[in-house]
Amino acid sequence: MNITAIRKMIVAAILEVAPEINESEIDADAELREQCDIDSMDFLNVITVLKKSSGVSIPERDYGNLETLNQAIDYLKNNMPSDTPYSRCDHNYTVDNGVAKSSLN
Amino acid sequence: MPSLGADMEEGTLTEWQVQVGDELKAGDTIAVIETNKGAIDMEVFDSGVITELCLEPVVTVPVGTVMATMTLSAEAEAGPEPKPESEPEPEQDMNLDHKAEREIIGRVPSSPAARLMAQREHINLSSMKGSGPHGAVLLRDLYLAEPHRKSHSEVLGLTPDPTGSRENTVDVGKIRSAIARVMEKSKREIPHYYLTKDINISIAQEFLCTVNAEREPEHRLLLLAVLLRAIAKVLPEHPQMNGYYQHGIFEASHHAHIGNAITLRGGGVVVPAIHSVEQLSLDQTMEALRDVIGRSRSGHLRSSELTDATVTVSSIGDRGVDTVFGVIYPPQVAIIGVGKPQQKIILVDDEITTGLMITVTLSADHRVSDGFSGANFLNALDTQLQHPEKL
Repeated sequence: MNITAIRKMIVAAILEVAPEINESEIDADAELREQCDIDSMDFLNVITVLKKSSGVSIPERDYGNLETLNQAIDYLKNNMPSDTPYSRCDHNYTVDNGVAKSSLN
Repeated sequence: MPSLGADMEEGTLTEWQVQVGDELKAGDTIAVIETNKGAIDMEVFDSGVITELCLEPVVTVPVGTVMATMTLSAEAEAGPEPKPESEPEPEQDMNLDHKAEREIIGRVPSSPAARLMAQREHINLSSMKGSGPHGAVLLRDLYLAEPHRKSHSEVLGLTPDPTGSRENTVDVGKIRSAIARVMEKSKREIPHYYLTKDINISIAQEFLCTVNAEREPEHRLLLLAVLLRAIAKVLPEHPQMNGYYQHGIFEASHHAHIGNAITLRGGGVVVPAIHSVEQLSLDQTMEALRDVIGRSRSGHLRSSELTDATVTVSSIGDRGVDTVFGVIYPPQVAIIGVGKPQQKIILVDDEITTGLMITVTLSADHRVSDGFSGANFLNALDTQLQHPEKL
């Protein structure tokens, strides 16, 4: 999946939780939770939506790696299965935490 | 029209979900009403049969207006008078008998809703011909007499969409003024006192990390659920923080119906209750929290959820403030504010270490409790939060 598609997926997840947000106003390098007025329940909902759309179940310990839109794009790019086509119905896929950590830290 | 809180003066019936003759159980939803808190599913509090629907949607009426009548199951055999299913608000002169009513408004019988509307809109009722019993002027007569007049909801800035396609269309200014009314009442009548306590939630946070590491996002727990459960466990020992103060009398509640201050996108706040949190598991509390926050933002809170909170929790600390001094929502007697969790340097057994800390603030009603009992409550909450596994 290319970066444009990943970005679209993340923005869609944010808009599902915060429908009044204007995509063009999101600063990709500023803190997402602050600019989109997202509290911890909203953030959990974004993560839940992203799991459905991307198949990546982002562990809580990695939340800190998703503070901005650009960080979130990087995170998903590194953690989504790249060679096998992903099925939306596959809910069993979970990210390998070890891989996630080594690729980001 | 039921009162869904001290800040509600009227509501708009947008849809009936029942018909005359329908048999209902207590808790069934009978209508959708649009209020300053969004679209609410209105429930009945008794079982029985609907005998009349008195209003046609879409119409805005004051709290206390009879919307429908029903024969209650227990009374059905005795053949009593149909009973209005919503109780009138005593504050709005609803208890006047017919004779007094005639005297006050110049010998023209009229419904309370029509009187209120006439008063607001400066309409002379004595010149009107009523279509109600004994020629009483009803709200609909006012609209029929002056069709050019803006609908009540337009006047008030409440604009429900009759197509129902936008469920939660509310006017922010209207919400603001509703909040203003109830907060004014609170600060005018309730002698608040405030106590704060810094609570180390490192153990609770560790517990959450361990539990959540094993779970998919849709089953993960939030700190707020842990806090709600801890509060519910502690409340039975501290009844002066949980209940209603009305007409000079405090009545403690046997249940922890915890209201959660939820910010609405676009402005305003609703405080729906999670019922009987003392009987829920931690997972059930989280599920209820998820459900109620979702419905607060999308519509379809239930009327009971907006009326029967026995204590409130405000966790806007999530938005980055250290301490939250809440204003009590009458007739409740306490509100618990939760600040932002922050890693801090602390001293434990003469050792300098760090801990994840939150400041919990109790705002309580001094007519009902004293600082001493408030302090006991906060200390008990602290102790409880050190044992999250027991929640």
